[in-house]
Amino acid sequence: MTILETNDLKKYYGTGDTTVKALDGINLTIENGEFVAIVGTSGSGKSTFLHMLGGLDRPSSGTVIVDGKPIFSLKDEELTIFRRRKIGFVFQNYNLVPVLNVYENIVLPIQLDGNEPDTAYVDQIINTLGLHSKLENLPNNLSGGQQQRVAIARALSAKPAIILADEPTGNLDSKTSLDVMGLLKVTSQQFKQTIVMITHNEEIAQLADRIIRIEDGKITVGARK
Amino acid sequence: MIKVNSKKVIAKLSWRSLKANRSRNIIAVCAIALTAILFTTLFTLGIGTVKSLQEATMRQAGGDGHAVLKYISDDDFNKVKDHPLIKEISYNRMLCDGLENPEFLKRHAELWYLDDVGLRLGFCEPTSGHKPAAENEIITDTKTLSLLGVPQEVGAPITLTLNIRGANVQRDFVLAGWWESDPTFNVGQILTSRAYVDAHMAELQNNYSEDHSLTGAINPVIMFKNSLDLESKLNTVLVDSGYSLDETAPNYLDHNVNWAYLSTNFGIDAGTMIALVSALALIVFTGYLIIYNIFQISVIRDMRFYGLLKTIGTTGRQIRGLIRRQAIFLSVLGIPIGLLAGFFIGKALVPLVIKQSSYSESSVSVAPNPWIFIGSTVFVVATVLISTRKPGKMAADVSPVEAVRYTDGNVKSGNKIRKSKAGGKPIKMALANLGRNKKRTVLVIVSLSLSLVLLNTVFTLSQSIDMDKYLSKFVDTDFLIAHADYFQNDFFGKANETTASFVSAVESQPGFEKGGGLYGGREEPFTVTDENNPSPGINSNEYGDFIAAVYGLDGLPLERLELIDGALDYDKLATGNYILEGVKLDDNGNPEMDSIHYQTGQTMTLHNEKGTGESLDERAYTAREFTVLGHVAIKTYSNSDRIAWGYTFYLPADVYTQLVAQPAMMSYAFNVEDRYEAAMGNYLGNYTENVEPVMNYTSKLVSATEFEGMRSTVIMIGGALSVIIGLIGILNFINAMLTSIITRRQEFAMLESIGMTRPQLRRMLGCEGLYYALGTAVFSLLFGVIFSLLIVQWFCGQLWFFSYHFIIWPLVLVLPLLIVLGVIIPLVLFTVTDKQSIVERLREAE
Repeated sequence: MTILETNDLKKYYGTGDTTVKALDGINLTIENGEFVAIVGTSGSGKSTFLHMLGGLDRPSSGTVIVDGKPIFSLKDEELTIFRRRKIGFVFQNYNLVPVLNVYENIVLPIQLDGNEPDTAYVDQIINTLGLHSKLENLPNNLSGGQQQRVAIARALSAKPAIILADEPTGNLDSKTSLDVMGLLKVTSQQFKQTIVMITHNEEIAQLADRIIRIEDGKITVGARK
Repeated sequence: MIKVNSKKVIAKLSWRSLKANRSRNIIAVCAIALTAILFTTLFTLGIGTVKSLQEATMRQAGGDGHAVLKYISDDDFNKVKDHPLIKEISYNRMLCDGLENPEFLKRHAELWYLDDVGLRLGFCEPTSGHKPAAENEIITDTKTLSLLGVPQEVGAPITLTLNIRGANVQRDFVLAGWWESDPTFNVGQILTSRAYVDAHMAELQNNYSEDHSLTGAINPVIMFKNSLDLESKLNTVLVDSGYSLDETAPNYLDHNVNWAYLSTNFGIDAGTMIALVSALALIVFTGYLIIYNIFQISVIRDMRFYGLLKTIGTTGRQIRGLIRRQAIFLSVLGIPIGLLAGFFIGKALVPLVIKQSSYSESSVSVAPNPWIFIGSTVFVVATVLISTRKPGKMAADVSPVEAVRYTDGNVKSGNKIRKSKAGGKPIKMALANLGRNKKRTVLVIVSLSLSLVLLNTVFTLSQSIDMDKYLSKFVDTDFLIAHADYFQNDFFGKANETTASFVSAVESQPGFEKGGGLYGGREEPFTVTDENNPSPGINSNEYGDFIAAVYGLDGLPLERLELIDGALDYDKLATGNYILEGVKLDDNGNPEMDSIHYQTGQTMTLHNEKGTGESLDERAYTAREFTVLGHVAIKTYSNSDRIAWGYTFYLPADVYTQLVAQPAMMSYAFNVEDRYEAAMGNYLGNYTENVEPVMNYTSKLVSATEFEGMRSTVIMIGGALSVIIGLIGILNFINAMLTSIITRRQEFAMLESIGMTRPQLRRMLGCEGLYYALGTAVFSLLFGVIFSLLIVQWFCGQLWFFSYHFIIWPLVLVLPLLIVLGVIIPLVLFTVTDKQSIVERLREAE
């Protein structure tokens, strides 16, 4: 089953001679439960692509279909709500809310949706990610690896259709990076969770099910369409 | 320590980082300007009021000279005039013992020669025409002219009757110039030229010590370099010039310093001092709350920059200097704005204060005194330096490594643990956000609360001014009529008594109910024999009897006497064998029983110099025994001549009139039917304006108006200060909210990316503002109540016309406004600052 699909996705900045083609006609399909790594050098357009997938930025042309829904047909407000239900984000710099404790950060997307968290499911995530003893801690008292695990838990908590991870190991040392990657891999399998991750680290990318390479706004490897 | 000259580079750095902080600069300049406004208003108000009162006093004292010598000769004058301590000395010479023109019966006039210095110091420089030059030229004040019936015209002829050592001499003069009369000045001044003095030298040879004649006596006015310690300067001058300070010595010169300068007149008493110091402290604190907050926030935001500077070798001292330099630059922009605005606000408020003082008729002068500006500037700069000290230290002490990770809110969080499961709801998240920097939240709340508490205090004070207490002190009956001098505390006797025509005019008015006259005066002075007086010889006459005030009351005033002890038996009083002794009341209306001299039932002897002869030798010294029937209250403003005498007695008018040869009606008190009160007020206003201008009146209505004036003054001045302090509080809130929104831009982007909608974000910010407002409400209510009960109540107890009333409604009334502002301000700021897309803001941190 296709969970994510892009059709001729383009993002141009500027006009005329100075036009920068950040994305230049990307066609991609990702199946449910896949763990995909997008690699590319800096400036290749991979971050812009990820932002498009998450609906944070609007394309110049083309469509993004998440879970059967063309997301750019939604208004901003609807898009935000769609995002909190269907898409989980993991950022390089964790981006936890400093005034909320670990548990509150994890269930934040659910509470923003006005729902009560599914306790059993959240507990399962917490156990899988080994955060049980840290639930009442504030993010500043956690190590980088721990913070990233909280971020992953937060991304999982709303049972999204897809998790988008932007250089999730970018701020971590190599051992912690491998731990976090292992956890991503485990969650992908355990919760049948689709994960799209961008990284410039080939070694990390090797842990994914599938590698897509982007150069100059185009897919060079792994389009599979 | 190595000294390095790094001034230039520090100046450059501080200038550059100043330019990078535009919104902070605007807010800081506003804050400094507002603080300067507060100081300047206070100083202008203070200095302006004291100065206006001082000038009024000086006018009453007859000039602003520091000291005068009296009745000296030309020889004496020449010996004294060149003394090095003297900055200026005027030559004021009396030219006759008095002016005997009948027009001057009610308002005396004097004929003088004043040199230019004398004219200036005596406020007698002609505003129209010119100074007298020819022998027959004179200048005078406008009231004297109108009494003489002389038109305000240069060259108008004036004939004066001079009393030269007892002999009347008529001389013709022409008018050379005039000036506007000062209403507080009760003696007419007629001034002629040096040529007149030279022409009448023989006549002006004065020998005051022998014949006590004033003709030709010189009373020079002396100005020293400053008004400090005038007494000893004057003594030094006299001793150095070869005169004695011993009154009995032959070479003694009569002298005195200007009482307008004596500190006792309006010296700063403890109450004023406390009020002044607490006002200054309040302003410093208000200023500190905002300026500290602004700089603290800005330093935290720039922490990475300071860390960077440290990494490349900038010392803590240099960083402190950098921040101080920015503060001073912002002060240079803010202070002048504040000084100007504050001066004009203060200037506008001074007349309100003066109106409430006993000098209400004086002109108000608020000149831009340099001390106002110097004082305010010093205080503002001090406030700014105190407020920026800690932020400066914080920037100076930062470790370069930590600085990189230093972001607002993540500051060494005291809490490691947070027990909550529902923080994700926007309303709860907002509360958690306020906890990011608890100290700042508290500062903002305190800053906002200050103006609310002040406002409440202002209204509490204005409501606590007790109309009844106030009125009962000043008026006992609906109306009191008397000669204008009486109201100037200058009733003497027949010369300025209440005219019978005025009394009968009033009695024939519709609505007149009941009235009665009060008789008194000093023309036939009363004395009493009192062996028990602890200080014989003071306020006593040649027989050892003590000066006393005796009043004869008729009708209404007699009935309205307030008995303190004994009996108010009118039949006994009418026999002429009984007398009532007056007892002083303190400010709160309680009798001062230790001021009485005779017990009820005791007999005493009353004397007076009965008769109408000029000299006391022509009079009879009477003696009459009375039994003290009881004690009654002296109501200074209704049943006395408004002067505090050592002994005061009350008699029925019939008895009193037997004691004196020529009874004088001091005043006449009466009541009217309520519905005729206003009509009577208008009638009296018109009558005293047009029919008998030297008569005047007071009424409950007039006093009630004065009272309302006092209340509105309290509200005006306090309200103005509250508004400015309120603006500072709101500015502080805006600054805290604005920086909080700006520094959290990235966090907001992240929240949006994980699904927080704009309305949710706005709700969260609105809630933060609301919590500030609610926090302020709780704190100000709590603090306002405590402050009101402890401080305001105490303060009201100190002033007699206050009865403390607890009120909190002014504060409660302002709270809805505060809550609306609290919610709206963050939303507006968010909308204004939120221009970038999510992606841009997310990237900002990377």
